[in-house]
Amino acid sequence: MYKVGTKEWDENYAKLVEERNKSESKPYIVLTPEWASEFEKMVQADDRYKEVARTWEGSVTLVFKADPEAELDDDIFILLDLWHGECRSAKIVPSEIGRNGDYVLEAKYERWKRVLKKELNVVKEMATNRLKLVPFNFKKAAKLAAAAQAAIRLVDIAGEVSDKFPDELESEELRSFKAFLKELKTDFCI
Amino acid sequence: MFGLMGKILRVNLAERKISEEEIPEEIAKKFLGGRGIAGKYLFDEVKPGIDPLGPENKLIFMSGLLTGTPSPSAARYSVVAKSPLTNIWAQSNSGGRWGVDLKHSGFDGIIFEGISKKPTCLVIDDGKAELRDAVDFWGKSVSETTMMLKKTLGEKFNVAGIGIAGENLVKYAAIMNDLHRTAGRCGLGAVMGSKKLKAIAVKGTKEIRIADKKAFQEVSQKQYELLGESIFGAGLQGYGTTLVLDIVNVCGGLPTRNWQTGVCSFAEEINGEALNEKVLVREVGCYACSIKCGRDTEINKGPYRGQKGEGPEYETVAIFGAMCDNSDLESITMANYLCNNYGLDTISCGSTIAFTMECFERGILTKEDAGGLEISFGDSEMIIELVHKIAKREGVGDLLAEGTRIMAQRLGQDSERFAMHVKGLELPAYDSRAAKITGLAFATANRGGDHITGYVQGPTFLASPFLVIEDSEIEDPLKENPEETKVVKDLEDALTVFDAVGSCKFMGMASDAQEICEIIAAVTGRQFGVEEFRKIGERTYNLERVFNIREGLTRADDTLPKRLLEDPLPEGPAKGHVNNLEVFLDHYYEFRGWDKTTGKPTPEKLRELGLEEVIGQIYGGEK
Repeated sequence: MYKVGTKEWDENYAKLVEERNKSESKPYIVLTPEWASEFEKMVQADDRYKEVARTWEGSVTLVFKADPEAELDDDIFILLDLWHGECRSAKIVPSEIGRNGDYVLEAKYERWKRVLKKELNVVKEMATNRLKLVPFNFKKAAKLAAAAQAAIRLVDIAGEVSDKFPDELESEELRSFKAFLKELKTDFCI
Repeated sequence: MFGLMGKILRVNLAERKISEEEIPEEIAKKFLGGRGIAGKYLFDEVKPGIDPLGPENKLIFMSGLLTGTPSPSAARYSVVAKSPLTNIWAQSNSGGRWGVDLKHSGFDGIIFEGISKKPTCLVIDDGKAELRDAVDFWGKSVSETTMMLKKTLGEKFNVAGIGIAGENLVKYAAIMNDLHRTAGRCGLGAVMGSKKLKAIAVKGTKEIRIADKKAFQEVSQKQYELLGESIFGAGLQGYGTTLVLDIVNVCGGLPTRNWQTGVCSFAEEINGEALNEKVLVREVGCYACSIKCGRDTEINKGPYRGQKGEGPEYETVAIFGAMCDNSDLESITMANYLCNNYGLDTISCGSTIAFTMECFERGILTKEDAGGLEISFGDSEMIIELVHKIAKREGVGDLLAEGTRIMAQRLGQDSERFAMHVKGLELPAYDSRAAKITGLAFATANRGGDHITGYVQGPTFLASPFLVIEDSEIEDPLKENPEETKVVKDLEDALTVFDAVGSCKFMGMASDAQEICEIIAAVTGRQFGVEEFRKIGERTYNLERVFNIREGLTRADDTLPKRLLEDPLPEGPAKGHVNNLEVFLDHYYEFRGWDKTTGKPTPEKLRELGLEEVIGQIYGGEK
């Protein structure tokens, strides 16, 4: 097991992504490290995001709450390091790292899935606390409200990365996805 | 009566007579309060074709059904009359707490008739009303008048009134209350000035009766909690309405240099963050509002250092800022203070100044015409000077006091092309070329070029759907999807009810119709469902439309300035876009049940809404 927050963890995570980029075929399964990495690249390449998020400062953690019925046994934390229109990284991280994000947005897996599929409006979900800022903080909530267009663009891009969601996988693929999550838990505390 | 006090005052200013009337139960049921009931009285009592500044116009103040109850953000009153700026139906409303105090004084509303021989003011003290001489107040600013009245009557009196702009019949003069709160649009301050009515001071302790207090508390509490953890509530409290400035700018829809472009290069110098850093003292809210989008401010540097007041709000910042190409937030704030104290609508005032700047740029207006003034974009001192001149109708200010439509008519030389108004009302600061459906809302709003009649900016620029209607999603703001015109219709109807009950429209972003119906039901003690909610909104909206049709309005008036229809935006995400209004209009009329050729509500629609009695007024004997 690699120690969380160390150089070793980072290096091995990068290696894992590199390997899986080769071994897995696109579109990647949502919530995998390779999916997060692809998301990072696409945000980085997006001029519209750069424009609408040019004043944004702060990391954002998306917390997909565990939902065994949707084949997700543990919470998954995606940490986006966002700064002035740049996406400096996007990673699946352990909870203790994810919880330290500047803005932690939490929702049930099913809710996130519908947001990424654009069946639900991300701003409306935040406005009605179905995507919850945790812990709620007035100043941060105000910043999120002001960044509505950036949030929309991020979600649009995430939707473009892949629409292959874990609970929609065929049984064989689902088994191997779940096994992979176990490995992540063992090796990376994710 | 529950919710309403059940009584209004009728004040004949010419005869100096005051009488009390009960609001008929049927009118209360069909129109709820505020804009609804006031509009019904105006429709019934004001004949078509009258002079808005003459004795036959009536000026009607009306608090909302929920105003003064602890329902979240229900503090508003409406004022209606025929507008001197647009010559059609006018409604404006305002928050603060004057509307609450009016209700506590024992009356839901006041109907002013005729013209007083000399300046006067109405004083209502806990159920007793009298007209008093206001000769000493005439010529005084809003703050001076308020202070003088409070000194004479007592601090507990709350004042709504006009400043010098209203006295001088500036066509977009506002009615001010609580010093800084404004019933700004459509020139209702000029109607008040024409009646020689300087102010209305109110005080009272009468109780507003709530039918089911327990249910009311439960549903109100739920809404407070929702607002307490809503990013909208937080955003509005954090930045005031200037929260939206950056959002609109990144969409390429922040009107800049009189709508010559939708991208403002200096947005960061005048946005919500800048306002917080440069002038904010503290956040302030209306009665019973936890959002607190108001701003107590003070200017800390430059020639206006030490000046204090409230605001500016988004529209004011965008219009005296981007629209006038002015990056100096201190001068924007000062222009706002001046408008408040003179009693001027900042949207129309700033837009008229921006229009004047472009007329100068194009040589349509010259230094000679302007009494030696050099007027150019970006000149912050000139903006301040022009606000003074408009309020006093001094020099070129006399022309500007007429608003952009009349100015363009007088100046000619194709200036109408960039006179940014609809039906005479200057447009708010959202460029509809960057969010097409907003153009439809501007073109069809009953009071003219207006953004809060339907607030389609919510689901477009702000990407924030209104929960108060079932479906307010706009898929792509840059595409014209005729099916989405239903969103405009539904929002117009729903937000009309907000004006009738006296609630802030921001609540419509966070609450759904069912929750609002539960509050209305708890207050009134009668069954009140979503269907009735929507029908009351639609009924009121159609009655206003009939008022306008009666005044001669047709489909041809539901249009936009040529600049929006023909001149593509030159840069930004909406580069190359114009408004193609015709794609929307037929569908909108169809959703509305309006005749596609004439724009009239059909007799069938009017019957469906229980407005049979008005059919003859627009169809004569033909139907």
